[in-house]
Amino acid sequence: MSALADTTQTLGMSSDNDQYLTFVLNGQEYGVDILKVQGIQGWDNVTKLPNTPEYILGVINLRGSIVPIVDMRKRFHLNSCEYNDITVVIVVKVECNNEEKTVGLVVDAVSEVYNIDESCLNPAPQLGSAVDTEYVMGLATIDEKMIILLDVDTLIGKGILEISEQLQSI
Amino acid sequence: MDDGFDEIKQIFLEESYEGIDIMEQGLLELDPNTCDLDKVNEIFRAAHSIKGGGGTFGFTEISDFTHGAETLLDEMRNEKRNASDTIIQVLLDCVDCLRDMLDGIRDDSDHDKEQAKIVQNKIAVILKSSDGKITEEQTITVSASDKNIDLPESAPNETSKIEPDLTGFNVWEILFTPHDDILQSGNEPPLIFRELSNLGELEIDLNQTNLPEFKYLNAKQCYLSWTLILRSDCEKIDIESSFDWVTEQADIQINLLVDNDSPTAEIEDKAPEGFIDLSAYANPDPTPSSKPAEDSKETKAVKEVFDNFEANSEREEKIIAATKQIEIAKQNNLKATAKKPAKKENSKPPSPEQSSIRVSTDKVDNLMDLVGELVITQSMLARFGKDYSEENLEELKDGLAQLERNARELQESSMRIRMLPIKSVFSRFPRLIRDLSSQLGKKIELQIEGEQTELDKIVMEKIGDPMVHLVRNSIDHGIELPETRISHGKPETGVLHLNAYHEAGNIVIEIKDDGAGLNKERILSKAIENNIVSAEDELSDDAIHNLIFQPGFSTADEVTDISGRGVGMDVVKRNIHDIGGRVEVSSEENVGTTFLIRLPLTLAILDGQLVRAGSDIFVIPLLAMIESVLIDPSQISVIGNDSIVYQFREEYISIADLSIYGPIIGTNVDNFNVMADHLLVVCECDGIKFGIIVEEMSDQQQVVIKSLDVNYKHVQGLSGGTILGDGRVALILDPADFMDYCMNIDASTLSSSISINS
Repeated sequence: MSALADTTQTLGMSSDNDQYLTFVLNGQEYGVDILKVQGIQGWDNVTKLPNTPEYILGVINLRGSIVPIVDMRKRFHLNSCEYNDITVVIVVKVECNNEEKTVGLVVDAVSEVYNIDESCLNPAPQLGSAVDTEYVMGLATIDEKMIILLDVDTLIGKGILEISEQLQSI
Repeated sequence: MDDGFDEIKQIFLEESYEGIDIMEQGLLELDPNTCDLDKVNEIFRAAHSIKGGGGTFGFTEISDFTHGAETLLDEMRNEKRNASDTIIQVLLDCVDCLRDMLDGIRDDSDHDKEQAKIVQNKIAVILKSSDGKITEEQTITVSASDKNIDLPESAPNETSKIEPDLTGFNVWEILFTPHDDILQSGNEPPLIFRELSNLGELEIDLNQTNLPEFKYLNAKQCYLSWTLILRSDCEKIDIESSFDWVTEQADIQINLLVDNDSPTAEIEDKAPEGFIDLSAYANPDPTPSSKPAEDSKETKAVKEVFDNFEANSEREEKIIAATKQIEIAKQNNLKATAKKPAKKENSKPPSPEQSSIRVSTDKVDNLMDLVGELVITQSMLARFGKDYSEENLEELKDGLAQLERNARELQESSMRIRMLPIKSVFSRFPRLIRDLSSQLGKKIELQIEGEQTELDKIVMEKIGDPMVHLVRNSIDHGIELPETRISHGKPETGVLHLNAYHEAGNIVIEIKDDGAGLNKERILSKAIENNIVSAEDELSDDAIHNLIFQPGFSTADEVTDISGRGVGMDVVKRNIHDIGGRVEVSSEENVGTTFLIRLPLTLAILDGQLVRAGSDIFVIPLLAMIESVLIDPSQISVIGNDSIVYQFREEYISIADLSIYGPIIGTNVDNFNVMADHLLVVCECDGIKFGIIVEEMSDQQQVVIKSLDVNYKHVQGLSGGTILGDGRVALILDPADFMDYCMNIDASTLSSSISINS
């Protein structure tokens, strides 16, 4: 959490633009709205949950509440890799179906905090099944790198919780 | 500003709901024959505060509506009027309307205006049928003003122009009698009069008979009262709003002397009891049932009669006939709108209101004491943090023990805050039974016991609906009609008994009737018809009785309004199951039926047994466990390729391995010999025993249940999770649900994890 605060400080707070925290998955940078981020913590063992899709790794105790952990590599159908020292869990608080849900996302590493103006976003082209266009707010280009900005509300609401609901009912 | 108002609104709603509860309860307890004045006073006070609150916060609909009821109650408490069943019934209707209005305010939705009008009208008629203590003129005017309000807004105003009236305006008489202390609250009557004069032509007549001699005069006291005559086309509400600030400090009576919107009538003074009775001796009207139920027709019916109205000897008869027509038209109307509220209930979005509870100060004080102790313990322990030495070890241990005790007490104490007496659930039944018994023509006595038994608030909120359903069932299907009861040699009045008590860490709620009991043959034939059981099955009586909880099961030959829609008992069972409870039924033909609902004391904490399967720790609720045994592999048999049974004592029970739970958990069992050092936890749910294979049992401890739904969703077989001392999450098993899960998962999943080594 403090690391995050530091990064934000060095970049300077700018109220005009929206700030995005980016993380790396398989070499590609993804961004999430920083206001949705509750905190960042190191990878720790989870309690496995039965009867859930593969990408739900289990649940952890986050300051007294039970929070599910999603493996983003598995969710995006990427090759899974060993968890190591820089593997982190980004805890996001999202709103889906008028309920607030706190969910941890396991990613390879946390990268930067960027100010990105919404007007500079390119719309996402048609994407494959793993990452539905619906979950992408847009594509941003910073230092000639492409950053995929994710709409975490939809991603977690529709792309994770609802899908696992369907799986369970099968 | 908005937020501030919301807060006030919330307080107003809370107080008003409380008020109508008091009114309802009081009315139900009120015996028309004795007419307990204290009770009437209590009801009156509740009505008065609702009206006052409504006026103050600008909910004029509520204050207007309550006004009639308040007047009626006021007359009752001043012994000007005796209570009667009719009056009590009308006042109860009034309570219903108020509740509907309050719901409307809370949800920003519309309440049932028609119903409110009907009730208001009834009250108006009762008020008119006074026993002569109100002068005749007033009787006319009161009725007129109320009639005016009761007429639908669509009432043609044009007619007023044709009416041969002096001014074309309504003439209102306002009797304004301030209380002594009105001046002290900063309200000045002249200002009110000025406001009124804006509405129309105002005549002010001062009544100073109460004015004392000068030497006795207290300058801070008000001795005056006024009679105001207002000629205006305004509505009663407009006038009342001028008095909004002084409703508490003055008696205000607003009468319509000349009404141009609709001609008016007076019920004969001898009329004893409101117009329900009136219609009984009214001239039989040849056409009432053919009158369509629409409101406009009803208005016409009134008008028809009144247009021909002549002050002659026929007038009383006509009035009576008209009153009857109104009544019939309104009843039709009522039927037409009766479905509306039901629909509303279903589609009503969860109300955004914040829930709150009233906690007795004892409990809060107790909690404060405990927090105080905790702080002391903390400072004591902090001392060791600063200078630690070996000698202090004993003291440190003592301190920690004390801390543990504090923590447990604190936990229990804060749990107790959530516990409320079950009275609040039971209190809705007297009314329900009163209404239903009169609707069905049955005689039912309600006996309530154990009202003080405390139950968790959440459980309480969720148990209400299932209980109402069970009670309705008992009344509808259980208790017979008086004739039938007599022919069966039972007393005419059926008894419904509600009871709540503690039993082995559970709360048990008992709903017992002495009615016909469940009809085994009919249940069985219905069950066979619906393929719930096959005809060959041999079932015990209890098993047959419990079939009524199967989905889609209703034996009611005729679908009644009250129960028997085919959804029901299964929903009851599911709702109760959702809050961790169980429901059982036992019945004996012609003796009665008893429903037992067992509920957990609280949803937040349970006593659990920690068990290990593979690398995972699970919690099994102690209440579900019967015992645990070391597995004897020779007792295991396999049926088909997916069912394993275990010979436990004299019976065979199905068993499931906790480690096969889900595709990601635990080790696979290669052969039964591996299980030799495993344990079998035998659980019982709904009377069915089954075993769960675990590798190891560790501590028993109280665990705090944390829902998985909060951030994820419900997972089958689990009732939630908890956090262990080391910070890890352990999953809490819902044994019955887990067993369901194991019985229903794909056979291939099972056989892949258990391969039988013969």
